[in-house]
Amino acid sequence: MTMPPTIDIGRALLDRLVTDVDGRPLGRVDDIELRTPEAGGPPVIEAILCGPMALGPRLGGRVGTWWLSVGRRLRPESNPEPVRIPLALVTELRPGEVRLSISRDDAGTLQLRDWVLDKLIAPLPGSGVAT
Amino acid sequence: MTVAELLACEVVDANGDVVGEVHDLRFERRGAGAAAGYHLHYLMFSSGSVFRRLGYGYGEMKGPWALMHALRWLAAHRGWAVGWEHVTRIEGRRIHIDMPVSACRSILDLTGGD
Repeated sequence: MTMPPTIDIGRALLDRLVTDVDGRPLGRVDDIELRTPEAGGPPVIEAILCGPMALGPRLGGRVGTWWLSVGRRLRPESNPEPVRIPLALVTELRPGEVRLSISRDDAGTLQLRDWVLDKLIAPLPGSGVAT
Repeated sequence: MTVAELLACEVVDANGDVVGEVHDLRFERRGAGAAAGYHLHYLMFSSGSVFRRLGYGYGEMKGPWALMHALRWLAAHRGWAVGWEHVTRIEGRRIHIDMPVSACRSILDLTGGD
């Protein structure tokens, strides 16, 4: 495990590629969830947030609202939330990369991609995707 | 709370002046073992959005010589860091601190240009 003593969020985490335990990409860091300790004190990093439901609010403005709306429409859940990866699952921060200790199948970041593949791409004639 | 709610917030110093926008956050690891966590230590802010777009102040900008030195000068004089303990309140997109900007550390001092 290679975690540094300090992290500058914008420099080392946001927008970095998230890879699973085998080095396979599974998304990007779109936002970071913070927890304010009940006993007081500064906020603590709780989890990495991925996907359009996390990126939309961060973009802000009309683009952010549009991005969020597209994300909501393409997600099967009625009230979709950002994909949340607890910081405890991060094993290493490399330049441009955040490595996790889990497989990407367990991370849940590819739900949107899989849903689009199943519902939109696969039905198209000649898509080459088995239905 | 998320990081996005803090980034790009305006910083208001003890004199009531808007002195910049938050462009990065520094977290520090505290504790040991399973109890270890990254705690928010510094808000880094600067006047002008060009600062955060270029990401200078970290010493990652490599030449041209004149541009590099100009940006390092700006990082030293127009970018600041303030400890979370100096944040008095957050109102919407404004973060109030209890000290004048002149008393804040420069970003270059914090990062050491690394």
